[in-house]
Amino acid sequence: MRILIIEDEVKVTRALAEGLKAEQYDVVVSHRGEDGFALLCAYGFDLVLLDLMLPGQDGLSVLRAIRERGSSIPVLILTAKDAVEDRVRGLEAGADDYLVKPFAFSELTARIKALSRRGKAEYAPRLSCADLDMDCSSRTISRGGVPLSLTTKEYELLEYLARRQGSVVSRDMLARDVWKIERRATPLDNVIDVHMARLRRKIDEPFERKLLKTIRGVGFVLEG
Amino acid sequence: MLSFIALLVGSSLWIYLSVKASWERSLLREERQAISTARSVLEMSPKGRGDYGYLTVNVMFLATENGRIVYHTSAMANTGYIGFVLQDGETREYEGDKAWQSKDDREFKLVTHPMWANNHPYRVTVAVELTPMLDNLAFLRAILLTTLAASVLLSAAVGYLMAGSALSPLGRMAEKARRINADNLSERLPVERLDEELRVMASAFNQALERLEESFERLRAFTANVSHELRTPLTAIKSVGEVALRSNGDSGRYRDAIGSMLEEADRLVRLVEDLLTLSRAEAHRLPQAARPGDLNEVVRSVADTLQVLADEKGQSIRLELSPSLMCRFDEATMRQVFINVLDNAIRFTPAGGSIRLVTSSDGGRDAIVDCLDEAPVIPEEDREKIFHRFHRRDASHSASGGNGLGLAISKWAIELNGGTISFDEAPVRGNRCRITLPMS
Repeated sequence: MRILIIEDEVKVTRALAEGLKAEQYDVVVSHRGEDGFALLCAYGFDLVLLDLMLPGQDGLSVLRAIRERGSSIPVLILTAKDAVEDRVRGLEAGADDYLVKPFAFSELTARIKALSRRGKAEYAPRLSCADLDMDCSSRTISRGGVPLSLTTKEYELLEYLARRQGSVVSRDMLARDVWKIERRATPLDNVIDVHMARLRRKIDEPFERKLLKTIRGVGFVLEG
Repeated sequence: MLSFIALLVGSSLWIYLSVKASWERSLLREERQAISTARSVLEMSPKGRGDYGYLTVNVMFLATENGRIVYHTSAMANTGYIGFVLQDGETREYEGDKAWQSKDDREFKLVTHPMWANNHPYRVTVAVELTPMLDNLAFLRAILLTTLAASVLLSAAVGYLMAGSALSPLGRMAEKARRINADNLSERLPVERLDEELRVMASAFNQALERLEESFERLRAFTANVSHELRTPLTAIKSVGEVALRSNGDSGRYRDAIGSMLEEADRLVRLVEDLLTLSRAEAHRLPQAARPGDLNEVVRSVADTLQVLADEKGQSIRLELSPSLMCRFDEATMRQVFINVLDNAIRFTPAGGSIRLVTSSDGGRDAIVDCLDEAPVIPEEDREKIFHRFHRRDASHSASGGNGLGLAISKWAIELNGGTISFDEAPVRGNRCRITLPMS
């Protein structure tokens, strides 16, 4: 999968490119809107990461130009402008999703995956991770054949992690997607941590092999 | 002042004109007397030259016949006019009034009439001396003008002094106000020795200064706090990074250092976001998507979310909800507010305590959400400060990860939704945080 990054901040592009390459994406970087647009027209890409604040032609006009060409390539906008109006304008101009800077890299990869999946219905009724089994229709889980009982929240948390197993999930993502709270604050972090600790107590503590890991400073990952 | 001067000028003018008119009337009388005297003299006397001056010393006339002087009084002769006429033969030339000045500078009014008397066609010239009247009028003018000028000057001086004594406190206040700036906001205008109106104004101004000083002080503390809050995570990031680089640790150790740096970066991100939210709220630019909804639902779901935190401390959260509380509010904002308030209650209530969330409506006007905790009672003087930015209820607050902006943001958010938030003492023990929101 080929990703075009249009972003003027060199340090950021270098980190993004490196991180995405490690995730097996092909990455091309452009530091100017006009160049990025030219690259996009010349070569085929599967996804664009577009910064809104660019020198020269700004991100929004690049986005409009892309859509005027009739291209339906997924565009994920990156913006430091934490203002609703900018996001709305970006989405209206044809962006598929947005991320507000500063963002967690894990969040970015999750969004990229979601965008590339788009259109392909993907809802596995059964999930598994090592010897952990989840039946999403009956909402039951077991590990090594031993049924485990989870509260509703713990189950939702585990399912969210299981659907993204192997990828790091940030607290921001959990707050927004599992707790449905847009603005994350300290109390919610504590809530997430308590739930995570309880979940770990139930699915990991009695077993030799630990599946749920905390990545300090980043988030959590469920890995077999 | 001006009207006073106008009055003064008017009355002086009136005095002058009426005196002048009365003089003129008496002169006219004199003139008529002279004419009638002349007629009687001419009637009585035979034709020819005569001198009846001794009979009427004060009456001055002369009579001519065919340009020749036939009669004149001695008084008339004394004026020197006779010689003048003899020289010029002037009496033939005119009839009516004319002014004449004698050689010794006396002013006369000469009136010449044709007069038929004793079968002779005479011309009679009557003289009336104007000098005394003119002199007197000049004197009167002088007196009036002098008094007028003096009183105008006097009244102006009095007015100026009076206004000056009333203006000078204002002037002092203005002078003082001009000197007040950011560096001496603690100065106040003098209030003593002012009349009622000025005192009210001065103290209103002083109160405004008081508030200004307060918010200025808060701003100064805020800036200091912000830089402190920024410096703490920045210091951590720098030192953790440096230490990790210096050591030849394994990758696990590096991971730990990077993780720690990321945590601090996260703290910074959140601080900056909160500051941004606050400044937007203060500029009334906080995006609000108010929709009608049941406030009870938000309370219930927040209680549900934070239940685990209470569980950890062995606390219970009790909900006492009224049937329905339909309001218009921005749900994400209100959720955040209740999370902040309830989290505070959980944090400060001792382990094993209980927290009550009680909702009610104030007769359908306001929805009321009370959060009753069992924490140590907040002293009355601190109840407002709790909503100040970076206010910390105790030192451990910082350790628990909050940045001291939560309640400040909550207050702004509530007020933007048209509601209020305040702390007071709960009826039994602990504190009551009361949130009100207008009902739809």
